[in-house]
Amino acid sequence: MKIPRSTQNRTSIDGGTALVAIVLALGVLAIGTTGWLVDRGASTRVDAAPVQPAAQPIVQHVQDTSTGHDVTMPEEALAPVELVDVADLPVVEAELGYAPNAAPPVDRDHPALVDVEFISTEETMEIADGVDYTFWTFNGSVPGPMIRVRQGDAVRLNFKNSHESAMPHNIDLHAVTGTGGGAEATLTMPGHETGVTFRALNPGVYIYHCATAPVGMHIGNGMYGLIVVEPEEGYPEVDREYYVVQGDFYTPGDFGEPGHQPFDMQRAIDEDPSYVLFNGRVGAIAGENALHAEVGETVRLFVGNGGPNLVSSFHVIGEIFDRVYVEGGMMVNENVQTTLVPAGGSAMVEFRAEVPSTLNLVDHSIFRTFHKGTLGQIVVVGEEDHEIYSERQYERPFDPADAPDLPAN
Amino acid sequence: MTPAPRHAHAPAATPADRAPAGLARVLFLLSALLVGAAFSQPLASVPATTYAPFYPVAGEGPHEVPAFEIAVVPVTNADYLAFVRDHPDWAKGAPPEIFADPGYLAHWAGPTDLGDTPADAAVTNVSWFAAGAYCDARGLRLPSEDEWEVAARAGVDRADASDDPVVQAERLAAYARRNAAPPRVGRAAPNLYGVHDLHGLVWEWVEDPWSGIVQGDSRNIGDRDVARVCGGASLGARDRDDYPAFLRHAVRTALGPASVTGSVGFRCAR
Repeated sequence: MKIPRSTQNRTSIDGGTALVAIVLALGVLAIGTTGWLVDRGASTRVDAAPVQPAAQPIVQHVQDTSTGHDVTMPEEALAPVELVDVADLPVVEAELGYAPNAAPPVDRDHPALVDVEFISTEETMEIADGVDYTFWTFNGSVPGPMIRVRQGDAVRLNFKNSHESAMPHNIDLHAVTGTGGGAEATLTMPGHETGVTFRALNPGVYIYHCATAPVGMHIGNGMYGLIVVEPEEGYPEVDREYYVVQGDFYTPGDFGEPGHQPFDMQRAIDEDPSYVLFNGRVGAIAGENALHAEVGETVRLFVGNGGPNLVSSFHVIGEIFDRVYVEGGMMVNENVQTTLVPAGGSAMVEFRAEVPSTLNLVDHSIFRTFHKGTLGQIVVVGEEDHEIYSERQYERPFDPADAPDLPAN
Repeated sequence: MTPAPRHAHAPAATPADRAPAGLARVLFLLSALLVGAAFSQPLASVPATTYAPFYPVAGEGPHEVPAFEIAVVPVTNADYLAFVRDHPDWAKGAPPEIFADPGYLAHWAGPTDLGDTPADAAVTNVSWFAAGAYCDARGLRLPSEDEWEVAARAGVDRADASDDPVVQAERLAAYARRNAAPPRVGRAAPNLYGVHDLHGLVWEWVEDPWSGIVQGDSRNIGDRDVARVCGGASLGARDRDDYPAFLRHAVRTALGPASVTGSVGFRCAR
């Protein structure tokens, strides 16, 4: 089975080289959209079947000014995705990743039929020390587990709703091409199960979430997570990967007010959260739960934002993202301080830890971090490198006469 | 059908709950039958009124709802046991799958054996077909969606409390509350009409649960005439802030007429 998909991006990306986005104006009325593609210089070109677009694309050759490489969109970027019939695919079981652990990279050079088992639950857990919240979850965790498959895979999802649930639930995966992202097919009463199979056509990092009415309440109670579709050649290898999903929570009591806190519909409508959290709990990845890395290691964060309302200004204090897969897609930006992660969206960020420090992960819409819990940490251990950062060199009083002269105003 | 998680203030297990097999079991069943008799479904009267459907059809005004009577509590296991004794076609394991999914009365020990299930708990794991057959056998019927909603919108002291944010928040919390205790009927305060347990005990079947429901993907705008998946989630809804109503409609959408689940029961009307 071969399905031509002119908007399909197939890029080969290797580490270290510069990146430039080029715009391909796809001709005439055919599609009327603009395709973006990024290629990294010395990538391995895959000999793919020739493209037969409805209209000849106007290819504008572009040079990366820093490297001199021709970064024109490669032809194979527009190649059809070769799909093996589902019946002919080998069956494998998905290895899910529970936050903060990412699911392991796909270790296959061929597509498969990937079995994924999900169960929705409703359970009371701590949202902060001394504060309980009744979360609605996928597989008992907030965020739900990270699914990781390969472009061209078929994903066979079995969706159960716990016998102990009060509510019907379902799942809309943004990686799905099909009705409602699977939501309609998976609407499931407590004690029941449903099944759906979809094809992972587009590589990228995608949010999934519950889409049962009232949608915002289901999302606001924690029903979201990430499904990562690796490009056929995979993502570049890194030393460490972590899984972080931001979400906003709405309770009658303000941050830290003890006891059980129910969902507050009016505060949700007013977009006035009492908590804005990474991984569903104050301190889920901070303090004794901090993430770890060593100097010299490359770190990749799969960052999602379940919302339901707030857009995240995702920033890591004391680092610069060497590379950001913008909005979780295949366009890579470099040297980024803060990246936007929309509600119902994602970003994949990478950096090399150059010096030891405790890196603070924040939403740089900073009152959230200070007052509502949006704080994570990565403790980087290893040898100091004073060529990069000196650490404090002195602390002492100074003579008022030594104050710098300021321009008169 | 109406929604509802389990009972808010369910008590700890009584000695009868823990009764071992044998004589104690016999005594327990006898007492259960007495309890069942005590809850033999008296009906409360609700005067004629109008009801604007949650998902109105374009151009359609409020529905006229003639006076009706509705059971003050949901049908209990004891009630239902008496029914299947008289109608073995509806005993556990008896009805074909087109009328009831395999989990029909799954919480009972046998065709006429409640096992550990409290007699005074609302019967669940019954299909829409089974619920209709029960009411029919009693000379009653399932309440229409309009009737159920009219009965359920009442507060303790007024006919319509659905515009009260405090009441709505309580109902929302009751729906979302998780409670593993059996859904014993009649323990929550009655509403204006003397009806108990409409919010927060079990979801309840109605006669026409698929007349105005949301889509499985509840963000779409649909056509009420399209199969069972119709209506819209927010667009098309009479009151976007009525989250309890959204939840009830989501439950109705998720069910088919043969569906059975541990959180859905019913009551009768006439």
